[in-house]
Amino acid sequence: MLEASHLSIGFGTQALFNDFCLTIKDGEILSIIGPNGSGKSTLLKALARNIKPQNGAILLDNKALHSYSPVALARLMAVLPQSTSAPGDITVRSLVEYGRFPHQHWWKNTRKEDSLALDWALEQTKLMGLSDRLVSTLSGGERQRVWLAMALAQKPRILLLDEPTTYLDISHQLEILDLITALNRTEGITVVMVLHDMNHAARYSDRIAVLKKGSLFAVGTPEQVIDVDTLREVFHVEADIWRDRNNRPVCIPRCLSAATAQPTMATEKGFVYDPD
Amino acid sequence: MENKSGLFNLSSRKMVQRLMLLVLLAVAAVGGILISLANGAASIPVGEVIQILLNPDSTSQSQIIWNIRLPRTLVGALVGLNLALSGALLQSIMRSPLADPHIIGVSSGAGLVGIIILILFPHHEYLLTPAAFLGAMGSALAIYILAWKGGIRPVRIILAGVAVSAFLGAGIAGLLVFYSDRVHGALMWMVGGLSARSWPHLYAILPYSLIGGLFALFSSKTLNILELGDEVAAGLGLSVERSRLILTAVAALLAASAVSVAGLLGFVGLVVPHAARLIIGSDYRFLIPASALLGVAVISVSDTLARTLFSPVELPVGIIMAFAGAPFFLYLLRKEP
Repeated sequence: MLEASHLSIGFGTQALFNDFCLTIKDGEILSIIGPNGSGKSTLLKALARNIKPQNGAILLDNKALHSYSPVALARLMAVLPQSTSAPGDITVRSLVEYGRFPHQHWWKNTRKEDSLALDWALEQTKLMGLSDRLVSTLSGGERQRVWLAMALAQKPRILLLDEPTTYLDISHQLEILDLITALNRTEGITVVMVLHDMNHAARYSDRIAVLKKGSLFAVGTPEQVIDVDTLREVFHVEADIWRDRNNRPVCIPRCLSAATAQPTMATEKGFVYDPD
Repeated sequence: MENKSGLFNLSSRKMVQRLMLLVLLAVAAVGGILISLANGAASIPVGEVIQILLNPDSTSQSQIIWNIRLPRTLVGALVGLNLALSGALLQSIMRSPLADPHIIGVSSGAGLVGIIILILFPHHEYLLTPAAFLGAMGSALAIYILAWKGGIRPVRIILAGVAVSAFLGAGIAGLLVFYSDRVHGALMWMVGGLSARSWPHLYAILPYSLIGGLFALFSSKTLNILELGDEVAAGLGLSVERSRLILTAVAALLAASAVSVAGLLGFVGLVVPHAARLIIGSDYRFLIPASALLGVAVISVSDTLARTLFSPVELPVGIIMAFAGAPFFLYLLRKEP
């Protein structure tokens, strides 16, 4: 269980998070959504221990994150940052093998586990056929799969992903999200990801956390969270909410909200479509 | 084809290829040292050089080899090794292809202190090596502290390095202007040379080469991980700040010990690691030994040319290296796919 407990994070004198609490359950997919500057990436970085909170703590299995050694943490939790870069002459297999770094010790021969984990990670991400290719010659979608494979080679219980679908076209976006979902369902890996696309979040998440200016506006199942009010209050857009074939909410933004400074002004109710 | 047995990621063919390249570079390094021993004011055939090395006797040739050429060549070899390793380390730590021992202030610090000794206290020239070493480490430390702000970002180190180097450079230029009559002695120091380097200089640099070299070899995995960027490296369980601090210190020691015996050699630390990378790839497990060996080879051959080309006039090795090395490097760069 990963938990942000009374978290306060600020940059300089400006506080972004203040007394922020959020619990991530084992085995769930939780997406973090929110407008630009709402603190999505900051929250993810804090969860990954890349940012130190001024107050409060991140707890992993009820133990403060900073009480884990970096290597011990890397064996439990893998992080895929938003932008990544690798040397131009590295092969897929070499890069994915770096995921074994937290498991390797100079005094211990770990070759057998390493190669098992490596093959497993390459298989999960369907990269077996590409393993000797140079990463620099791959397409954006394939490259994202390579970085995901590296994270998987860590054999983590928890996967943190910062906008894993940015820069990808629609089919590769779905490919990555399907892959992540499959890993969650078959391997039980807890997934926390920042997503920009609300419909992807609604479709692929067990729960969604909506951030607004560093505070938790709402958290819950997609059905509970994605509604006309959320879109208006948090994203300042008027939207129609539909339901897809799995009864997940789908939102179609219509226009920007009228001046949000006048919240009492009557606004049109969103149109709700029900396929049944 | 899938290569199940090549566990350690490289297909075994590629592994063998890289090991072969390392052997070739080792041959080049030893060859460079032998060429340097054989050539000079009096040429001695390589076969005879090897004889003398194995069985020193009292002939004048043996005297030349053991008292003059061997210490000088070995000092040169270690200077090349240290600067190349320092550059290779810094290029990974700073994640910048332009990183070299200059940017962490080693050259400007050693330069200023060296010039002060050579120009203001010429009768204390014996202090040159230790004082230059302290100057180099002092300015490297100053840059690290100035760039620190709740952590180290490579870009801030590079910019702080530029600023501190400009500051110290102004001091050097000022001294050279005020004491223009004494510039000649300082000039060799500024360009970097190995003239009259002997056993004491070797003992001054040897411990740093040994410790720094071993450290660099054992850090190759860390350096590979650092190349992936701070966030990924931290996610893999590397203490990025601590690794960067320790490795910067090692790079500073390597470069400072080299600069303190040979003066401000500019070329090796920047270009040799790049050339090694073009030859053997960016995997630090191979790049570290390749840079070290190439550094030895380059400086040995360059110093031989520096001594013999315009004999009896001796050029500072720094000039030869830049003249011959820069075109070669540009050739490697063009050749790269």
